Amino acid sequence: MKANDYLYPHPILKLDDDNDFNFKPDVSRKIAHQENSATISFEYELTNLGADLLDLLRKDKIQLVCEVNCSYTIYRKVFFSNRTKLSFEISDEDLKNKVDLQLLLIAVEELSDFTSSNFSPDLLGQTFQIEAGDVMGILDTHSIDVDALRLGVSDFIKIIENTTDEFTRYELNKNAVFIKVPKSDLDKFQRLNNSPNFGHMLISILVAPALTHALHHLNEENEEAYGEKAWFRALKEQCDSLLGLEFPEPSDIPVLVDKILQKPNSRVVQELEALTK
Amino acid sequence: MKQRKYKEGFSTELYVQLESGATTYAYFDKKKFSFADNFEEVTEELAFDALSNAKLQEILQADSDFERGRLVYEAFSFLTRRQASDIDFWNYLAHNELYPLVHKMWPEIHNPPNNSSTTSYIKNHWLMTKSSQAELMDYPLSGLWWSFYMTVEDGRADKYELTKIFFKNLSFRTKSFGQSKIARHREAVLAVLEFIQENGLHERNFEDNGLAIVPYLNLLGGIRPLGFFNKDWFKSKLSAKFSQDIATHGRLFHRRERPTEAMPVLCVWENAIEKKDGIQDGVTFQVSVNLDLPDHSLFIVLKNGLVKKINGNLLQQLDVNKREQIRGLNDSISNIFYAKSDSLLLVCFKNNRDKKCLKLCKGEEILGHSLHSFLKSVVISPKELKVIPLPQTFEGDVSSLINAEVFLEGESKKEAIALLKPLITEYRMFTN
Repeated sequence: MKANDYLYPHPILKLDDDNDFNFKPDVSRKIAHQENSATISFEYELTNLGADLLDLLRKDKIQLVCEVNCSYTIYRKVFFSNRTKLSFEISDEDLKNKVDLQLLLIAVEELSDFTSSNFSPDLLGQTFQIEAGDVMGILDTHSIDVDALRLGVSDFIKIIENTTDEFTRYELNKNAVFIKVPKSDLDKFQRLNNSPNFGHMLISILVAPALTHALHHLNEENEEAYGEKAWFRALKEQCDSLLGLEFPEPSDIPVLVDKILQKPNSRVVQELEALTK
Repeated sequence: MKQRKYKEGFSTELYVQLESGATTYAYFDKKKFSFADNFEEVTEELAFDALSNAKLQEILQADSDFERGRLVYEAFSFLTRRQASDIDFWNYLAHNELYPLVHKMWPEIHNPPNNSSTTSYIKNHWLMTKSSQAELMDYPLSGLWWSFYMTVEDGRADKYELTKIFFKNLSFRTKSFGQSKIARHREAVLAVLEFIQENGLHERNFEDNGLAIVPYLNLLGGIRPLGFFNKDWFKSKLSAKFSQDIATHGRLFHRRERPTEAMPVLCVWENAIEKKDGIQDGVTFQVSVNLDLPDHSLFIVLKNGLVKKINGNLLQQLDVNKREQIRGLNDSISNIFYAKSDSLLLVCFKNNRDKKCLKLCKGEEILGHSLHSFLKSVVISPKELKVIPLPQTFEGDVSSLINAEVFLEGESKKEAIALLKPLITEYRMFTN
């Protein structure tokens, strides 16, 4: 009944192998910046919860609780639900820099002689005294960089003039990834970008390859060189929120590009199709 | 006229200038901070109005921190949490409109207390470097604003009733309670202040509140998400824990009589050491020692990653009440401790990307033959360094961490790190 280096006097539901229950729940997490409402939205979904705990949750005897902590804005708040889904939003003005999140199952009221048919074999048949506020499950512990999450693609990928030669080049050692294109091309790109029919094409032609290039540099070895750059932090958050990974494998990159740019090739095909009609 | 703040990056520039010694003397003028001709202040305009001259004069003439805080908070009560944690805003005020106020609150720039250097004194009061809770509460201007923000309660006849309690003790407000994780939870803050008020604890031994209440709440928070609980829950827990001691002894806890033969105490400053007969008021770094143990040493940990060791034989030779100079301590002290000379040392710090790191070092590798012997570098360019001796029981299990820098939450050497985590929590090796 040990979790997070503490010994609890009752069983704790966890996601690792050292679990006090005979089932392992799954937790999905979606965190995104909502530009329109200037908020960060959080969405957790818990699946594969054992029947006993699910029953307690529905009867509001236990709750799914997320505690949010931000040292940089002296913020600490819990959000809760008596369902397996928990969604909430926090204003941009309340969070900054690093935010710590912990998803827990908490007893809302005293549960005397608590037992479960889903206990692990060594605990089956035993009863426990649970107080209101006791932790019954530790389901997710996670930190996010909200400043990076807030950055849109246009904040960290910039198209500028290449003043040194006549080729397209990428530069990674600034806060944004710079796509450097020759002046003659840059003027044409700017004209095309103003046309409603070609915006997505430019994303596919220019932005997607640059993003792919940057994502190939998003790995642990490059943390020393780029770890503080805004583009690196932003892509790390995107990778975490869209794939649930700290860093992508090379084989993940095409899908990640598609997700970040919202399927740019499909949209180009639509644009081309419209042009042929 | 609109309020201004420093542009991003300028606070770092100011810090670099101060470190180089180029601006130190500018702070000696208590009325106005003047930038050198070749160093231009880089600012930007904010969306709200600047302090009026009348309001500014009122703030500068206020005669208590509570009054100053009230006026600063009311002038900027509309700030969001994000705006109020902007160090470029507070640093701008500390070098412009409210520059004389910082001098008024911290007037000892010509003679900093505890042998602190002038540069450290300026850094600690005028120049914030990060917007963590610890700095937001500890720096004079941001600390005033946040102390009000955390404690104002609109439903009360006097909405500042609990704020007044909070301002009764500087150390409780800006350090022990103000910097604690539990102080981020408003319900807990209000409960603690109400409990102090209702039991009259603000009228005597105020330091006890920080020494007893904060550790107790941290203990409760170890196994429960304290943000889940309301004010009544916190008050009932505090009552259950402390009511009997308050009724019996009139205070939160009853100290046992100290032994009649007091242990000698070593007081340490940034350039000197002195043996005293007992605990000294106002000395930040002091430790009780048993000088009958020649295999023990005094360890002095500097913020720049160096550790000095002064061994037991040398300590025995110190005269009581005679200050001895120590060479080599060119940086601020992080912490000190007295332990076996060959103790294994647990070194915790943040790297340049603010990642929590740790490593172990062998105490025997640090020479301690004279007061002026060289210092040993345990880590290069750390932030928030803290070093403690490791209990001997750990030694075999964590030997893989000796001289290996690893991330606290990394994948490498997880098992050994897990063994150390309770110790890291207990000794608060990281501030957040």
